[in-house]
Amino acid sequence: MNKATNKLLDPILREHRMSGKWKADEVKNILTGLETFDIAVARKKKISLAVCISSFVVAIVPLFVGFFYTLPAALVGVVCIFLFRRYRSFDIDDQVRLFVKPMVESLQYDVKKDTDISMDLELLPLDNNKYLAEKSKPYAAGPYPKCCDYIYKRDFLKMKMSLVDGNKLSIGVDEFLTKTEKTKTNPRGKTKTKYKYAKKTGYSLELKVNTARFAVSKPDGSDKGAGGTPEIHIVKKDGATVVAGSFDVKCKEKSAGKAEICSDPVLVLGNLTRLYAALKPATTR
Amino acid sequence: MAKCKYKVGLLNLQDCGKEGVAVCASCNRPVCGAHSRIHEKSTLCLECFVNKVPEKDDKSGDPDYRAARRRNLIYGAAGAAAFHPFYFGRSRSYGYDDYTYFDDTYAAGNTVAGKEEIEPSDFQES
Repeated sequence: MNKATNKLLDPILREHRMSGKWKADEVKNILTGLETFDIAVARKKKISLAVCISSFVVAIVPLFVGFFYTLPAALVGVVCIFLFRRYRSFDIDDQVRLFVKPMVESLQYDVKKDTDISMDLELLPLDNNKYLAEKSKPYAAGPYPKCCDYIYKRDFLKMKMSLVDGNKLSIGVDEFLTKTEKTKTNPRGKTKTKYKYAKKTGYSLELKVNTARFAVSKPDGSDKGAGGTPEIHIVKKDGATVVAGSFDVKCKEKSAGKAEICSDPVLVLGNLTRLYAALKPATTR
Repeated sequence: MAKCKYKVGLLNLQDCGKEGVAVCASCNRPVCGAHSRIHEKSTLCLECFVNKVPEKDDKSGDPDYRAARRRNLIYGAAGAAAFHPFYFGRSRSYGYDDYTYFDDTYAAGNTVAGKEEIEPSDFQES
Protein backbone atom coordinates (compact mmCIF):
# COMPACT_ATOMS: atom_id res chain seq x y z
CA MET A 1 0.00 0.00 0.00
CA ASN A 2 1.53 3.32 -1.04
CA LYS A 3 1.47 6.68 0.72
CA ALA A 4 -1.23 8.13 -1.57
CA THR A 5 -3.61 5.25 -0.76
CA ASN A 6 -2.88 5.67 2.93
CA LYS A 7 -3.83 9.33 2.63
CA LEU A 8 -7.13 8.32 1.04
CA LEU A 9 -7.75 5.62 3.64
CA ASP A 10 -7.34 7.77 6.76
CA PRO A 11 -10.57 9.85 6.48
CA ILE A 12 -12.51 6.77 5.32
CA LEU A 13 -11.48 4.76 8.37
CA ARG A 14 -12.13 7.71 10.67
CA GLU A 15 -15.69 8.20 9.40
CA HIS A 16 -16.36 4.45 8.88
CA ARG A 17 -17.77 5.47 5.53
CA MET A 18 -16.44 5.65 1.99
CA SER A 19 -18.12 8.53 0.28
CA GLY A 20 -16.89 10.49 -2.72
CA LYS A 21 -15.65 10.25 -6.27
CA TRP A 22 -12.52 8.43 -7.30
CA LYS A 23 -10.92 6.94 -10.39
CA ALA A 24 -11.42 3.18 -10.87
CA ASP A 25 -7.80 2.42 -9.93
CA GLU A 26 -8.10 4.50 -6.75
CA VAL A 27 -11.31 2.72 -5.76
CA LYS A 28 -9.58 -0.61 -6.29
CA ASN A 29 -6.57 0.52 -4.24
CA ILE A 30 -8.79 1.83 -1.42
CA LEU A 31 -10.76 -1.42 -1.29
CA THR A 32 -7.53 -3.44 -1.30
CA GLY A 33 -6.24 -1.21 1.53
CA LEU A 34 -9.46 -1.75 3.50
CA GLU A 35 -9.17 -5.50 2.94
CA THR A 36 -5.56 -5.54 4.18
CA PHE A 37 -6.54 -3.41 7.17
CA ASP A 38 -9.53 -5.63 7.99
CA ILE A 39 -7.47 -8.82 7.81
CA ALA A 40 -4.72 -7.28 9.97
CA VAL A 41 -7.26 -6.07 12.56
CA ALA A 42 -8.98 -9.48 12.63
CA ARG A 43 -5.59 -11.15 13.24
CA LYS A 44 -4.67 -8.71 16.01
CA LYS A 45 -8.12 -9.16 17.55
CA LYS A 46 -7.66 -12.91 17.59
CA ILE A 47 -4.15 -12.66 19.07
CA SER A 48 -5.22 -10.20 21.79
CA LEU A 49 -8.14 -12.44 22.75
CA ALA A 50 -5.91 -15.53 22.89
CA VAL A 51 -3.25 -13.71 24.97
CA CYS A 52 -5.97 -12.35 27.27
CA ILE A 53 -7.53 -15.76 27.90
CA SER A 54 -4.21 -17.56 28.38
CA SER A 55 -2.78 -14.87 30.70
CA PHE A 56 -5.92 -15.00 32.87
CA VAL A 57 -5.75 -18.79 33.02
CA VAL A 58 -2.06 -18.62 33.95
CA ALA A 59 -2.30 -15.64 36.34
CA ILE A 60 -5.68 -15.24 37.98
CA VAL A 61 -5.97 -18.64 39.71
CA PRO A 62 -2.43 -18.51 41.26
CA LEU A 63 -3.08 -14.85 42.16
CA PHE A 64 -6.04 -15.84 44.33
CA VAL A 65 -3.96 -18.52 45.99
CA GLY A 66 -1.38 -15.87 46.85
CA PHE A 67 1.27 -16.20 44.16
CA PHE A 68 1.70 -12.49 43.49
CA TYR A 69 4.55 -13.02 41.06
CA THR A 70 1.86 -13.79 38.43
CA LEU A 71 0.55 -10.21 38.73
CA PRO A 72 2.34 -8.99 35.55
CA ALA A 73 0.61 -11.73 33.54
CA ALA A 74 -2.76 -10.62 34.92
CA LEU A 75 -1.94 -7.03 33.92
CA VAL A 76 -1.10 -8.22 30.40
CA GLY A 77 -4.52 -9.88 30.33
CA VAL A 78 -6.25 -6.64 31.34
CA VAL A 79 -4.34 -4.67 28.68
CA CYS A 80 -5.33 -7.28 26.10
CA ILE A 81 -9.02 -6.85 27.00
CA PHE A 82 -8.75 -3.14 26.16
CA LEU A 83 -6.80 -3.93 22.99
CA PHE A 84 -9.45 -6.44 21.95
CA ARG A 85 -12.23 -3.89 22.50
CA ARG A 86 -10.26 -1.29 20.53
CA TYR A 87 -9.66 -3.64 17.59
CA ARG A 88 -13.31 -4.64 17.63
CA SER A 89 -14.26 -0.99 17.08
CA PHE A 90 -12.11 -0.98 13.90
CA ASP A 91 -14.00 -3.95 12.47
CA ILE A 92 -15.06 -3.51 8.84
CA ASP A 93 -18.10 -5.22 7.36
CA ASP A 94 -17.01 -8.42 5.60
CA GLN A 95 -19.16 -7.49 2.63
CA VAL A 96 -16.61 -4.81 1.71
CA ARG A 97 -14.02 -7.45 0.80
CA LEU A 98 -16.37 -10.30 -0.16
CA PHE A 99 -18.94 -8.37 -2.19
CA VAL A 100 -17.91 -4.81 -3.11
CA LYS A 101 -14.25 -5.49 -3.95
CA PRO A 102 -14.91 -8.48 -6.27
CA MET A 103 -17.66 -6.48 -7.99
CA VAL A 104 -15.37 -3.49 -8.61
CA GLU A 105 -12.60 -5.84 -9.79
CA SER A 106 -14.96 -7.45 -12.29
CA LEU A 107 -16.16 -4.09 -13.63
CA GLN A 108 -12.79 -2.32 -13.65
CA TYR A 109 -12.20 -2.77 -17.40
CA ASP A 110 -15.78 -1.74 -18.21
CA VAL A 111 -15.39 1.65 -16.54
CA LYS A 112 -14.60 4.48 -18.94
CA LYS A 113 -11.00 5.59 -18.58
CA ASP A 114 -10.33 8.84 -16.70
CA THR A 115 -13.87 9.04 -15.34
CA ASP A 116 -14.78 8.94 -11.67
CA ILE A 117 -16.74 6.31 -9.83
CA SER A 118 -19.17 7.88 -7.38
CA MET A 119 -19.41 5.76 -4.28
CA ASP A 120 -21.26 5.78 -0.95
CA LEU A 121 -20.32 2.76 1.10
CA GLU A 122 -20.95 1.99 4.77
CA LEU A 123 -18.03 0.22 6.43
CA LEU A 124 -19.45 -0.76 9.83
CA PRO A 125 -21.14 -4.15 10.27
CA LEU A 126 -24.92 -4.01 9.86
CA ASP A 127 -25.65 -4.94 13.49
CA ASN A 128 -23.88 -1.81 14.73
CA ASN A 129 -25.92 0.50 16.95
CA LYS A 130 -25.51 3.28 14.38
CA TYR A 131 -28.02 1.53 12.12
CA LEU A 132 -30.48 0.51 14.86
CA ALA A 133 -33.86 1.75 13.67
CA GLU A 134 -36.20 0.09 16.15
CA LYS A 135 -36.13 -2.01 19.29
CA SER A 136 -39.22 -3.97 20.26
CA LYS A 137 -40.61 -4.25 23.77
CA PRO A 138 -39.53 -7.47 25.59
CA TYR A 139 -41.92 -10.36 25.03
CA ALA A 140 -42.11 -14.07 25.90
CA ALA A 141 -41.99 -16.84 23.31
CA GLY A 142 -42.19 -20.55 24.25
CA PRO A 143 -39.43 -21.55 26.68
CA TYR A 144 -37.82 -18.12 26.36
CA PRO A 145 -39.29 -15.68 28.91
CA LYS A 146 -37.35 -12.71 27.58
CA CYS A 147 -37.17 -11.99 23.87
CA CYS A 148 -36.38 -8.80 22.04
CA ASP A 149 -36.26 -7.79 18.37
CA TYR A 150 -33.74 -5.30 17.04
CA ILE A 151 -34.32 -3.86 13.60
CA TYR A 152 -31.40 -2.40 11.67
CA LYS A 153 -31.74 -0.48 8.41
CA ARG A 154 -29.25 1.18 6.11
CA ASP A 155 -28.35 2.05 2.53
CA PHE A 156 -25.22 -0.06 2.27
CA LEU A 157 -23.99 0.91 -1.17
CA LYS A 158 -24.66 3.45 -3.87
CA MET A 159 -22.33 3.33 -6.83
CA LYS A 160 -22.46 5.24 -10.11
CA MET A 161 -20.07 4.91 -13.03
CA SER A 162 -19.70 5.68 -16.72
CA LEU A 163 -18.92 2.67 -18.88
CA VAL A 164 -16.70 2.39 -21.95
CA ASP A 165 -19.72 1.91 -24.20
CA GLY A 166 -21.20 5.27 -23.13
CA ASN A 167 -23.83 3.78 -20.80
CA LYS A 168 -24.11 4.95 -17.20
CA LEU A 169 -24.51 2.31 -14.53
CA SER A 170 -25.97 2.80 -11.08
CA ILE A 171 -26.00 0.08 -8.42
CA GLY A 172 -27.82 0.43 -5.11
CA VAL A 173 -27.96 -1.96 -2.17
CA ASP A 174 -30.11 -1.43 0.91
CA GLU A 175 -30.25 -3.77 3.87
CA PHE A 176 -32.80 -4.61 6.51
CA LEU A 177 -31.83 -6.87 9.40
CA THR A 178 -33.97 -8.25 12.21
CA LYS A 179 -31.96 -9.60 15.13
CA THR A 180 -33.96 -11.62 17.62
CA GLU A 181 -32.44 -12.09 21.04
CA LYS A 182 -33.92 -14.90 23.14
CA THR A 183 -32.86 -15.45 26.72
CA LYS A 184 -33.77 -18.28 29.07
CA THR A 185 -32.48 -19.70 32.34
CA ASN A 186 -31.94 -23.45 32.45
CA PRO A 187 -32.77 -25.62 35.53
CA ARG A 188 -29.18 -25.28 36.78
CA GLY A 189 -29.60 -21.51 36.90
CA LYS A 190 -27.42 -20.78 33.89
CA THR A 191 -28.62 -17.98 31.60
CA LYS A 192 -28.48 -18.76 27.90
CA THR A 193 -28.99 -16.31 25.07
CA LYS A 194 -29.68 -17.21 21.46
CA TYR A 195 -29.62 -14.92 18.46
CA LYS A 196 -31.44 -15.28 15.18
CA TYR A 197 -30.82 -13.11 12.18
CA ALA A 198 -33.20 -12.49 9.28
CA LYS A 199 -31.85 -10.27 6.55
CA LYS A 200 -33.49 -8.76 3.51
CA THR A 201 -31.25 -7.15 0.94
CA GLY A 202 -32.70 -5.02 -1.82
CA TYR A 203 -30.67 -4.49 -4.98
CA SER A 204 -31.44 -1.93 -7.64
CA LEU A 205 -29.64 -1.80 -10.96
CA GLU A 206 -30.10 1.05 -13.38
CA LEU A 207 -28.55 1.48 -16.79
CA LYS A 208 -28.82 4.83 -18.58
CA VAL A 209 -28.45 3.76 -22.18
CA ASN A 210 -26.29 5.47 -24.78
CA THR A 211 -28.94 5.48 -27.53
CA ALA A 212 -26.40 6.50 -30.19
CA ARG A 213 -24.88 3.06 -29.81
CA PHE A 214 -27.66 0.86 -28.50
CA ALA A 215 -31.28 0.14 -29.21
CA VAL A 216 -33.36 -1.21 -26.35
CA SER A 217 -35.89 -4.02 -26.43
CA LYS A 218 -37.17 -6.15 -23.56
CA PRO A 219 -35.38 -9.52 -23.73
CA ASP A 220 -37.52 -12.59 -24.49
CA GLY A 221 -38.46 -14.81 -21.59
CA SER A 222 -37.25 -12.38 -18.94
CA ASP A 223 -38.20 -13.55 -15.46
CA LYS A 224 -40.79 -11.66 -13.47
CA GLY A 225 -38.66 -10.68 -10.51
CA ALA A 226 -38.76 -14.14 -8.94
CA GLY A 227 -35.94 -16.05 -7.20
CA GLY A 228 -33.42 -13.23 -6.99
CA THR A 229 -33.81 -12.22 -10.61
CA PRO A 230 -34.92 -8.73 -11.59
CA GLU A 231 -38.00 -7.76 -13.50
CA ILE A 232 -36.68 -5.53 -16.25
CA HIS A 233 -38.33 -2.18 -16.89
CA ILE A 234 -37.51 0.15 -19.74
CA VAL A 235 -38.43 3.71 -18.82
CA LYS A 236 -37.76 7.26 -19.98
CA LYS A 237 -36.11 9.39 -17.31
CA ASP A 238 -35.20 13.04 -17.99
CA GLY A 239 -35.27 12.32 -21.71
CA ALA A 240 -32.88 9.38 -21.42
CA THR A 241 -33.68 5.70 -21.87
CA VAL A 242 -33.15 3.76 -18.68
CA VAL A 243 -33.14 -0.01 -18.27
CA ALA A 244 -33.86 -0.77 -14.63
CA GLY A 245 -34.20 -3.88 -12.56
CA SER A 246 -34.60 -4.47 -8.85
CA PHE A 247 -34.77 -7.63 -6.78
CA ASP A 248 -34.68 -8.76 -3.17
CA VAL A 249 -32.77 -11.55 -1.47
CA LYS A 250 -33.93 -12.87 1.89
CA CYS A 251 -31.88 -15.11 4.16
CA LYS A 252 -31.89 -16.36 7.72
CA GLU A 253 -29.05 -17.43 9.97
CA LYS A 254 -28.86 -18.94 13.42
CA SER A 255 -25.69 -17.68 14.98
CA ALA A 256 -24.41 -16.71 18.38
CA GLY A 257 -22.06 -14.21 16.80
CA LYS A 258 -22.45 -11.52 14.21
CA ALA A 259 -24.65 -11.67 11.16
CA GLU A 260 -22.23 -12.78 8.49
CA ILE A 261 -24.72 -12.93 5.68
CA CYS A 262 -22.93 -11.62 2.63
CA SER A 263 -24.26 -10.48 -0.70
CA ASP A 264 -23.12 -12.47 -3.70
CA PRO A 265 -21.23 -10.48 -6.37
CA VAL A 266 -21.95 -13.18 -8.98
CA LEU A 267 -25.70 -12.80 -8.41
CA VAL A 268 -25.60 -9.02 -8.86
CA LEU A 269 -23.28 -9.09 -11.87
CA GLY A 270 -25.29 -11.96 -13.39
CA ASN A 271 -28.42 -9.82 -13.10
CA LEU A 272 -26.55 -6.91 -14.63
CA THR A 273 -25.91 -9.09 -17.70
CA ARG A 274 -29.71 -9.65 -17.84
CA LEU A 275 -30.11 -5.87 -18.11
CA TYR A 276 -27.49 -5.83 -20.85
CA ALA A 277 -29.41 -8.54 -22.71
CA ALA A 278 -32.03 -5.83 -23.39
CA LEU A 279 -29.49 -3.88 -25.46
CA LYS A 280 -28.88 -4.43 -29.14
CA PRO A 281 -26.41 -2.51 -31.27
CA ALA A 282 -28.12 0.48 -32.88
CA THR A 283 -28.05 0.56 -36.67
CA THR A 284 -25.43 3.06 -37.75
CA ARG A 285 -24.56 4.43 -41.16
CA MET B 1 5.70 -11.75 -30.24
CA ALA B 2 2.10 -10.68 -30.97
CA LYS B 3 0.03 -8.67 -28.50
CA CYS B 4 -1.92 -10.43 -25.75
CA LYS B 5 -5.29 -11.61 -27.08
CA TYR B 6 -6.84 -12.28 -23.70
CA LYS B 7 -10.20 -10.51 -23.47
CA VAL B 8 -10.60 -8.29 -20.43
CA GLY B 9 -13.87 -6.85 -19.12
CA LEU B 10 -17.28 -8.22 -18.30
CA LEU B 11 -19.97 -6.33 -20.21
CA ASN B 12 -17.65 -5.05 -22.92
CA LEU B 13 -14.72 -7.18 -23.93
CA GLN B 14 -11.44 -5.68 -25.08
CA ASP B 15 -8.09 -7.17 -25.99
CA CYS B 16 -5.55 -6.91 -23.17
CA GLY B 17 -3.08 -5.50 -25.72
CA LYS B 18 0.06 -5.97 -23.63
CA GLU B 19 3.15 -7.57 -25.11
CA GLY B 20 2.64 -11.34 -25.38
CA VAL B 21 5.18 -13.60 -23.72
CA ALA B 22 3.79 -17.06 -24.55
CA VAL B 23 1.19 -18.89 -26.60
CA CYS B 24 -1.61 -20.80 -24.87
CA ALA B 25 -1.11 -24.53 -25.38
CA SER B 26 -4.86 -25.07 -25.46
CA CYS B 27 -6.42 -22.23 -27.51
CA ASN B 28 -3.28 -21.09 -29.28
CA ARG B 29 -3.62 -17.37 -28.59
CA PRO B 30 -0.70 -15.17 -27.54
CA VAL B 31 -0.91 -14.08 -23.90
CA CYS B 32 1.02 -11.71 -21.64
CA GLY B 33 2.59 -12.66 -18.31
CA ALA B 34 -0.41 -11.50 -16.27
CA HIS B 35 -2.85 -13.63 -18.24
CA SER B 36 -0.81 -16.84 -18.50
CA ARG B 37 -0.45 -19.65 -15.98
CA ILE B 38 1.70 -22.76 -15.94
CA HIS B 39 -0.27 -26.00 -15.73
CA GLU B 40 1.37 -29.42 -16.01
CA LYS B 41 4.50 -27.94 -17.61
CA SER B 42 2.55 -26.14 -20.34
CA THR B 43 1.51 -22.50 -20.58
CA LEU B 44 -2.21 -21.80 -20.63
CA CYS B 45 -4.17 -18.59 -20.92
CA LEU B 46 -6.11 -17.68 -17.79
CA GLU B 47 -9.44 -18.77 -19.26
CA CYS B 48 -8.18 -22.24 -20.29
CA PHE B 49 -6.45 -22.53 -16.91
CA VAL B 50 -9.74 -21.80 -15.09
CA ASN B 51 -11.54 -24.39 -17.23
CA LYS B 52 -8.86 -27.03 -16.60
CA VAL B 53 -8.34 -26.32 -12.92
CA PRO B 54 -11.84 -25.74 -11.57
CA GLU B 55 -11.09 -27.32 -8.21
CA LYS B 56 -8.57 -24.68 -7.29
CA ASP B 57 -9.64 -23.07 -4.07
CA ASP B 58 -10.53 -19.38 -4.13
CA LYS B 59 -8.35 -18.92 -1.06
CA SER B 60 -5.31 -19.21 -3.32
CA GLY B 61 -5.23 -15.42 -3.31
CA ASP B 62 -4.84 -15.05 -7.06
CA PRO B 63 -7.23 -12.17 -7.87
CA ASP B 64 -6.97 -12.70 -11.65
CA TYR B 65 -7.91 -16.35 -11.29
CA ARG B 66 -10.88 -15.43 -9.08
CA ALA B 67 -12.01 -12.71 -11.54
CA ALA B 68 -11.80 -15.11 -14.50
CA ARG B 69 -13.66 -17.79 -12.56
CA ARG B 70 -16.33 -15.29 -11.53
CA ARG B 71 -16.75 -14.20 -15.15
CA ASN B 72 -17.21 -17.83 -16.23
CA LEU B 73 -19.86 -18.27 -13.53
CA ILE B 74 -21.67 -15.10 -14.61
CA TYR B 75 -21.66 -16.02 -18.29
CA GLY B 76 -22.75 -19.56 -17.49
CA ALA B 77 -25.51 -18.54 -15.07
CA ALA B 78 -29.09 -19.40 -15.93
CA GLY B 79 -30.78 -16.50 -17.67
CA ALA B 80 -27.55 -15.04 -18.95
CA ALA B 81 -27.98 -17.03 -22.18
CA ALA B 82 -29.55 -14.01 -23.87
CA PHE B 83 -26.50 -11.92 -23.01
CA HIS B 84 -23.57 -11.63 -25.37
CA PRO B 85 -20.80 -9.27 -24.28
CA PHE B 86 -19.99 -6.54 -26.75
CA TYR B 87 -16.51 -6.72 -28.20
CA PHE B 88 -14.80 -3.35 -28.47
CA GLY B 89 -11.42 -4.69 -29.45
CA ARG B 90 -9.78 -3.45 -32.57
CA SER B 91 -9.93 -5.73 -35.54
CA ARG B 92 -6.88 -5.76 -37.75
CA SER B 93 -9.05 -6.29 -40.80
CA TYR B 94 -11.87 -3.83 -40.27
CA GLY B 95 -12.36 -1.06 -37.78
CA TYR B 96 -15.43 0.97 -36.95
CA ASP B 97 -14.48 3.68 -39.48
CA ASP B 98 -12.98 1.44 -42.12
CA TYR B 99 -15.58 1.99 -44.82
CA THR B 100 -12.76 3.42 -46.95
CA TYR B 101 -11.34 -0.09 -46.89
CA PHE B 102 -13.71 -0.96 -49.71
CA ASP B 103 -12.62 1.96 -51.92
CA ASP B 104 -10.92 1.31 -55.23
CA THR B 105 -7.52 1.98 -53.72
CA TYR B 106 -7.99 -1.11 -51.60
CA ALA B 107 -9.14 -3.44 -54.39
CA ALA B 108 -8.91 -7.18 -53.85
CA GLY B 109 -5.38 -8.48 -53.98
CA ASN B 110 -3.75 -5.17 -53.11
CA THR B 111 -1.91 -5.13 -49.85
CA VAL B 112 -2.74 -2.33 -47.50
CA ALA B 113 0.23 -0.37 -46.27
CA GLY B 114 0.66 -0.54 -42.53
CA LYS B 115 -1.68 -3.55 -42.09
CA GLU B 116 -0.15 -6.72 -40.77
CA GLU B 117 -0.94 -10.24 -41.87
CA ILE B 118 -4.02 -11.77 -40.29
CA GLU B 119 -3.04 -14.38 -37.73
CA PRO B 120 -5.06 -17.44 -36.70
CA SER B 121 -5.20 -16.04 -33.17
CA ASP B 122 -7.26 -13.09 -34.48
CA PHE B 123 -10.18 -15.47 -34.80
CA GLN B 124 -9.94 -16.96 -31.34
CA GLU B 125 -13.13 -16.58 -29.38
CA SER B 126 -12.88 -15.55 -25.77
